[in-house]
Amino acid sequence: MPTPTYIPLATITLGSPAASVSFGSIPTSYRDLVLISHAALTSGTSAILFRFNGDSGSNYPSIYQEASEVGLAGGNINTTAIRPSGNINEASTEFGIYALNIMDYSTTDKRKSFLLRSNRALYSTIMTVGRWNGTSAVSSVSATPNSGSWATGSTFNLYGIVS
Amino acid sequence: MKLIATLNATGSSNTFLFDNIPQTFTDLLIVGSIRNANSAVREGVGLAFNSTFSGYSNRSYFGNGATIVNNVESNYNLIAESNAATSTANFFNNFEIYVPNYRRSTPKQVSGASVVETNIGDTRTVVTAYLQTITAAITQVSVFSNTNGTNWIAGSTVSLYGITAGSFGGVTTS
Repeated sequence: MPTPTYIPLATITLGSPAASVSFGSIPTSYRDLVLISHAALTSGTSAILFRFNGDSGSNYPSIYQEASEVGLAGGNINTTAIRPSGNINEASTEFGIYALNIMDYSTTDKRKSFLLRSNRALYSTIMTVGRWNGTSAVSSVSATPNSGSWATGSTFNLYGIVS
Repeated sequence: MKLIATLNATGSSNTFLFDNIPQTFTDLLIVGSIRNANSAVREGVGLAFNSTFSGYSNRSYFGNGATIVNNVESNYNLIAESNAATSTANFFNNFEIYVPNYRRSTPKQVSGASVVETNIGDTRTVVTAYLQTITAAITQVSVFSNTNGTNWIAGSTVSLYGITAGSFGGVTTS
């Protein structure tokens, strides 16, 4: 019998705008986590910030490569959240797809690696890989626009990957 | 995640067609191991929903370890690339396509990634953000050869999976 994967842990579908979304009390019984965000803003553009365990320190070193309307870009950054280094846009323009993989999230003897794919067909595609400097198990994940609010209809689905 | 269907190429078709897709999942995942008969190193892979072959936008970057290309298309369908006839023999490449919220009555956004591998120094990774403006629920998915319309060779396989969101294990949300 194949081992089941993508175990659905929690889901958020916004029936009204929200400044931020968060998943907490994440059990330690899986190997990896996957957060699929299909989201947009109520207005304007903004960067998107993913954080673990409420950590807003400069603990998310990463490298990225990007193709966007303004051209190609890449580099390394160390910021106070996981950032795809691109902008999400308002819902009337396009919803973006943000697929965040967090490997070995429940271990307590290593820093956590992550891979983020950020896609907006009308603007950019970005790959970001990095680590969170915390050694605690990831017990919460939040997704927050740097400015503005998540639009109605935005969805955020958290899955556990069984080892 | 649940397997919906796997299609195996026979060498006589340029399209993998998944039809009558159950309307019971949240997202779709399409993965494949493919090779095309086109007389070139690679062949483009197109994606279409519900037999609608229009309304595309996609932005990709192509990387081969030396050069990165920023590619945008407004009326040409490119979600991935495939190994083809002049790439190293017996090389089948992989691709992955993710479609969130495939049942919603909104335009469909898609993420795609693939890598064409060969020993002749012409490998390439393609990462794509894709949009198709159909608003109906997806009931049919076509993965097709879109550069030359040539057939997928026998041994190529593509699988469609359904992923269901939900709640389990006491995770809280706010």
